[in-house]
Amino acid sequence: MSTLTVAGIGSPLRGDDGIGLALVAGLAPTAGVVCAQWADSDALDLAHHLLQCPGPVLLVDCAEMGLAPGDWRRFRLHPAAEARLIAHSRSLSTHGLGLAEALAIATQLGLDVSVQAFGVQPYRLAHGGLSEAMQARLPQLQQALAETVAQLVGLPADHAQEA
Amino acid sequence: MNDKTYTIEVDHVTRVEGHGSIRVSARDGRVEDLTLSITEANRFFESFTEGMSPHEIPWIVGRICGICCVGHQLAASKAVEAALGLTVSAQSRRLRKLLNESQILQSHILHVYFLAVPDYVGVPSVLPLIKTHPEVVKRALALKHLANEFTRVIGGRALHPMANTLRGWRKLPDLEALEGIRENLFTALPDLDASVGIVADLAVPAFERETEYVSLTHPDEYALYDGEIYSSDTRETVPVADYRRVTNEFTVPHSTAKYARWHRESYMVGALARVNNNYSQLHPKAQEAAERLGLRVPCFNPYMNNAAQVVEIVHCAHNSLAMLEAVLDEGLVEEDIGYTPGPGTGAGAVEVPRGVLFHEYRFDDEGRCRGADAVIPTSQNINNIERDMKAFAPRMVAEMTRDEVTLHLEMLLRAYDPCISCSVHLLDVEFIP
Repeated sequence: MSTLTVAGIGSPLRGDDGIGLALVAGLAPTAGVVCAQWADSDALDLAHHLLQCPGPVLLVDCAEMGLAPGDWRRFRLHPAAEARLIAHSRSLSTHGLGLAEALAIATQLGLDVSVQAFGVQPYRLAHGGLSEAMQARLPQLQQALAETVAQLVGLPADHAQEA
Repeated sequence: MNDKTYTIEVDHVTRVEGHGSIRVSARDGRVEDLTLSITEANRFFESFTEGMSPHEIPWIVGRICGICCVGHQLAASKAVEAALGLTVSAQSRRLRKLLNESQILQSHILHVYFLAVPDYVGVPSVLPLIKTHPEVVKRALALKHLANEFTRVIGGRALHPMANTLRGWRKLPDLEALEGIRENLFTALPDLDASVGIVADLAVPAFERETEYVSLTHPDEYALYDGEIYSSDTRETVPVADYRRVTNEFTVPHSTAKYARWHRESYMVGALARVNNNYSQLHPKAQEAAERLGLRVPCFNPYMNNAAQVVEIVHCAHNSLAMLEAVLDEGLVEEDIGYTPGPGTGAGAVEVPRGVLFHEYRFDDEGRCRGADAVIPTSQNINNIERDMKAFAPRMVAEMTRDEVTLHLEMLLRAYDPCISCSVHLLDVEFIP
């Protein structure tokens, strides 16, 4: 299997928006995995980063998913979103470019690896670092991310628990 | 109603920063009314600085904009330093010039490739452009990433960098990382050359209107960081401290952004104004680029502002390479950046991607901010843009279809690369003691 890139995205200065960066920073070294911190990347920079990835990508980020704060989900980011974006592309401005647009741009430019997301529902998005509640939740989330990474690179489940 | 009687309402114009609308009424091939409305809500940034300590201000007002955050930070730094009589070393001045040029590179690359070029190849945004011109977009992404990295290495972050403060750098850039930027910038020169070729092939609308071109000018260099205010009309300079004599801001009912005028009814700032005013000081490679782009000064075609941005991309790349080499040769040393807060009033100016930016601050005896003013390039340009539209629209309406008129008016607005969010940062705020 080709190298898995695990990338934290978000802002470390916007409360729980920095959870992806914190989780990836705490990920133990794993064979076949490259960790990256794409803090404060705009959509164009994100597209550039994605195009440099040698294999599948797991983006770790804060995500509004309608879940209880601190809950997480892994989901596949679907290229179909791209077609919808292009249909509405006349309304795009630099302020309107986000993760979906970054994926659309990278996909059109030849990104052909699987891109998944490990999303964490935030408690608080105000200025400052991670919320106290999110900091308390970090150990479980780190374990969940380690298990997810182990699964994606085909390692046995107990590896993640050791990590 | 016939095909020359119609109303155009573009609400709001896309691929610009912020919200602006264009409204044109045409009857029997004649323009009856045209307005450029700025509808963005005021943001009252200057009032945020009330009571702040001097060193806090540059970081706070940098948040006026995510595109030109460096410019706001630098103009504010210079203004506060002028107010308090603080000096800046040659090393810090060079780092600030590098930081400013890195942001100009970022912004110009973003605007030329992702916001302006789609108009010229007949697609509505960068996304369809990827299908027809993938190599162009890949090149643009790589250049934009390089410029982001440039800002990050010099300033500590690509967005809202925090390393610069009053008098100098809180944390000096890593020399190894600077060497990496120098290498990557050098490697990117062929891509910049290709950029010139791409833009040179675009068909630029042939509309001209002479106006007053205003920029900084400096006796020793192409003025981007330092200089006095220069007018193409008088060919004379005005000290930055007297910037209000230049901007003469006023309001109009249909805009939340202020308007400006100096020696005539409006003036233009930005890349084209700078190239017009300071052409002889451009890097020779940038002058070559201007020739390839058909940009001969003085140029009175505002659509050529995009070509002027490409010229400045080339200039900033070569000038930054020279400055990086000087930094790497001489090394960097930690400096005393201490200061004592106190009373005073001072103004600062810097050329940012969209034109000359002015900041001014007033401090009380305890060094607390008691007055602030920022005059933004787009505020200075809006009046000129509207007058361009009014000058060009009659010919457009007579010669073009309604859709073509709409496109050309949008293109004209976009050619100025307006930052409308910046332009409505406030209406005057006088602090109440």
